[in-house]
This record gives sequence, structure tokens and C-alpha cells, in this order.
Amino acid sequence: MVSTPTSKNPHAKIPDKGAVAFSLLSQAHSPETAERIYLEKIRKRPLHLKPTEPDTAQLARRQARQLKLQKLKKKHKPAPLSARQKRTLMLYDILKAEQKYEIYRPLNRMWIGYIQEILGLKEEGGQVLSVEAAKLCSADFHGAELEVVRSRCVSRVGVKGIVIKDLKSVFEVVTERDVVKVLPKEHTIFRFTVPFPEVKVEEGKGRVGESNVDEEKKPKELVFELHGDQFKYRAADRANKKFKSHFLPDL
Amino acid sequence: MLDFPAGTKHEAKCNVTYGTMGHLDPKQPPVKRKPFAAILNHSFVQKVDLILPEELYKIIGDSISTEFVKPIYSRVILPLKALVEGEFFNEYIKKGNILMLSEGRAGVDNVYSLKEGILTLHLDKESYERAGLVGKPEGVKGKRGTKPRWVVEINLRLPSMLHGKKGFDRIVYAFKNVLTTPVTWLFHDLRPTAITPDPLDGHFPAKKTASPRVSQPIKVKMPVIKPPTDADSLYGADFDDYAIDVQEWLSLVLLESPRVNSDDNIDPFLSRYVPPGDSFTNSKLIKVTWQGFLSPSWVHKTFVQMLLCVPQDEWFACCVVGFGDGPLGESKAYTILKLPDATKEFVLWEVA
Repeated sequence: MVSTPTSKNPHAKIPDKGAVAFSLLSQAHSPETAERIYLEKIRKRPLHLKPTEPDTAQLARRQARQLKLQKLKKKHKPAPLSARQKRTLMLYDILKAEQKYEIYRPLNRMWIGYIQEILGLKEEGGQVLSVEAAKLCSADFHGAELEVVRSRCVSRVGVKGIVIKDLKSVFEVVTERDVVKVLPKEHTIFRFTVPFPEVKVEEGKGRVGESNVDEEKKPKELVFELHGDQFKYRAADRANKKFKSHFLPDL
Repeated sequence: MLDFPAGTKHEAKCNVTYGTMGHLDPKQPPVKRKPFAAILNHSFVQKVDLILPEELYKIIGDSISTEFVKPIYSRVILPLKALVEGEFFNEYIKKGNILMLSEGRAGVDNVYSLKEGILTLHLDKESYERAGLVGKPEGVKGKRGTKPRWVVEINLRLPSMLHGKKGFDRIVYAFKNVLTTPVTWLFHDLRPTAITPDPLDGHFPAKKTASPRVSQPIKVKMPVIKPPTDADSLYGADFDDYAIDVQEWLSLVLLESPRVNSDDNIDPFLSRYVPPGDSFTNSKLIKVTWQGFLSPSWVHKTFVQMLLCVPQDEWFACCVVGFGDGPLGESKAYTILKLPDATKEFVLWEVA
């Protein structure tokens, strides 16, 4: 560190004549030169009180302090909620007022459109190949209308409703009587039907007689059976999963 | 390694009873005492055989062919759904009393039966799980192998069994969606008078009458069919032997086997069978057979009628075989032998 000694009168032009250094200089130089040298080299000579090597420990402390301050200032993301917190906040619960079949009917309509798109169904009907049907494995089932057709727990057979939650091992459905039911996938076979898209009738042309003809011509709905035993994955995991054909001892 | 049987636990057993019948009041025939209880214990009867000496048949043969009620039954093809619909349900199940049994082998196929308003469904695993009706496991306990079966019992006479009720709608759902195949049923109306119009007529039943079939006289070497008098009541081996031997002999008579004939001359290398006992008398026997879908109450009535018209010192045997409707396809059977000379004594063999 560098510091300069300061006199009471730093702007005094004529240095202190009594100084030994000045008298010695004035013997060798002219008075002007002696004065200049005296001022530059002696009076204002920097005095090195301490060698200027860095204090590493102090630096580290300072850096740490500054980092801490910076962190405090920065806006950080809060930690995700724990399972217990989620439960107390009732995040995933469906309120009684929301357990209405009518609420989910539009979702079901959307889902049917989505599945028709996936399967590539046309208005006039036709076949669904296994390649297209295999896409159902990775499809989303929220909004599907499922019916239990076979279950090891026989009292569950016949329950029908729209899926509102597709969890790892259960489907939660809301039935037509506005009741939410939890249907485990294990040892259960679900059935769902997919109609063919409806023929768009141009306005003005649609008469009663014609629509009856359409009803007769209309291809039958596609019926799928879903083996819950093989379906015990979360919807997100299933999206990228490859389903392989296995021997199913239960069938 | 060795061909030892795995166990005799689930095999059919034969229980033998030897006793007296007590007083028989024609107006109020007993139902709870043996052997009458054994008759009514059956659910369905397929065949009834009477074995009686020819002399006895000469006395009562006319009354057998005329006085005894000829049971009427019909065969009809129905889906299960038809049972719980319309007039059939109201007239036959709720008001009336019918017996019904469907086709199929017990323990293999889905077999349905109806008795006293209780519909019993014997289902395999897939039908049970798809039907959604709560039942009980059927067959042997423990490890039930890959083909476990269930039995569902539904009392259709309960006041809750009405259209529109929740439990009943489940049954209708199962009959409409799962158990839809029409099956051949044997149908028997227990009411004495037929109702008109018959709700069954829409399904075109084939009506049948089980009339008695009388065999030709069988000449037999008649053993003594009275049980031995054991000196020691604790040691019953004599009675054991007697029970086995007489049952075997009666069964051979039923089969009309030539081995029991009095003029039988078989090489002992082929068959070493001899009728039981030491003293034989040559006599002729008559076999009267009713075959069809018979009700236990009819058998009971016939047996009581038989007892009333048979002279007290004569003997006869009544062999009854059920349908193979046990859990493993075995059929219940019993034989009642009314002993000669003794007024009211009988021996009863029950196989179940």
C-alpha cells in the first residue's frame, strides 16, 4: 500500500531550509534543481509502508460475502411441494360441485375427435389397421368413456363413465349419476367405443327422410377392449413406451 | 411314481342306514325322517327304478300303471333373459313353483338350474368375471388350478327382486350382455293345474310324459336280503359286508346283468361274481323304470303310495339317480330297500 507523508503546509514552495537533505543537495546542485529534486525525490517520495501482495483469505471472504449478497438479491425458484403439502392443499381433489357428468361431456366429445384423428377414421367407415390401433396405447385417455366389462372384483362390472384422471394404476371416472369412481386397472378389462365421424350435412338439404337413410348407412361404432393389467403406466410414461405382445396367462 | 390316488377326500361316499320307518299316515306322509328326508334332499331326479318280485307286481301292477301320477315335463330352448321377463317371471317364478335345469356338463360348461325360486348359475372364470354377479367359489378348496369355477345363487322370490331395483338390474344386465346364449332347458311345473295361457308356449316347448317302463321278468338267483343280526353291536363288519354285497347285487339287477341270472354259466376266468350269501332261491323280478325330468316331491309321493299298496311282508327296492349336477359332475343317488317280513324296516344307501 502506498501513502504519502503530508505536511501541515503541503503547498509551501520553499522547502524547509534546515533539512539536512536539502543542504546536501544545494551543495551539489543549483538551488532550483536542488529544490526540484528535493520536492520530487524526497518530500513527495512515495513511502512504501507495506509490500502490496494480495491477501487471499480476505479476498475469499469478500467474494463469499458478495456472492451471498448477490444470491439474496436474485429471485430464486421455490422448492416443489411435498406430497403431504399437496394433500393438505387438496390440489388434485375434485370438488363435489365439479363432479358433474355434464361438465365432462364436452371433454368426451373432444376426446372422440382426437381418437378419430389418431385412428384416421373417415366418414364412410372402413377398417382400422393394427398399426393405427397400436397408437391407442400411447394415446391420452382423459375424456374417454370407459365401461368395465370384466373384473376379478365382480361388483365393479358395468360401471361406466368419463375418465377424469388417468393415474398409474387407477382410472378415476365420473359416472352418469354424477359420482366419481376409482377403478383400479389391475385384473380389469375396459371397453370403449369410437364412432365414425359424422357426415356433415349441408344446410337446407338435411330433411327428415334423408337423415333416416344416413342412420342406416352409418357404419357401426368401433369397439375396443382395454386390458388394464397391461396398462399400468402413467399417461406421460406411456407416451414413449413400446408395447410388446406378451403371453398373458390370465386370458 | 406309484399310482396311488392323491386322496379320497373328494371322492363320493356311500352312507348306509338301517332302521324302521315308523307309522305312515297317508294324509300326512313324513318328510323329515329317513328315508323320506333323503328323497326330498335331492334337487332333480333323472331316473327312478323299482325292483320288485313278480308276484308282487301281479298284485300292484295295475295300480302302478293307472293310479300313479305320470310326471309331465317339457324341453324348451330359452336364453336366461327370458326367465326374468314378463309373464314367465310373474307366473312361474314369483307365483308358481317350477323346476328347471339347463344342458351341459357340470364342472365343464355353464350349467344353470332353478328350484324353489332360487336360480343357481355354475360359471367358469371368464363368464363369472364378465357377468358381474357375486358368487362363491365352487369345487374343491385350496389350490383351484387354472380353471377355477364359481357358483352364483340368486333368490328370485325376494321382495327386492323387481324390475327397476338396483340388484335386479345387475342381473338383467348380465343376462342381456354376457350370458346371452340360448340353452336347452328341462322344465317341470310343480303346480297340479297348468295355467292358461301358458307363458312357455311362446318358446315352443316339447312336452313329454314319463310313463313307467316295465321290464321282462328277470330270473335271478335270489340271495337273502335281510341284514345279519350282529352278536356284538360294536363290531359291525358283518353289516358292512352285507351293505356292500346287497348294493352290488341290486346294481347288477338294475343293469340287467346276466351274472345274477339263475341259469348263468360264466367261465370263472372271466367273472368270479357270485350273489352274496350261501342260500339262494330262484325267483323272478320285475323292474319298473321312470326316466325323465322328475321332481323329488313326485318321487316322495310315489314312494309313499308304493308303501301303502305293498303288502307288509313283501320287499321292494327303489333306486333313484339324479342328474350329474354335483360340483365335479358327480350325481347323487340313493337306494331304498324295504325289507321282507319285517313290517317297517328299511335299508338306505345314499351316495353323495
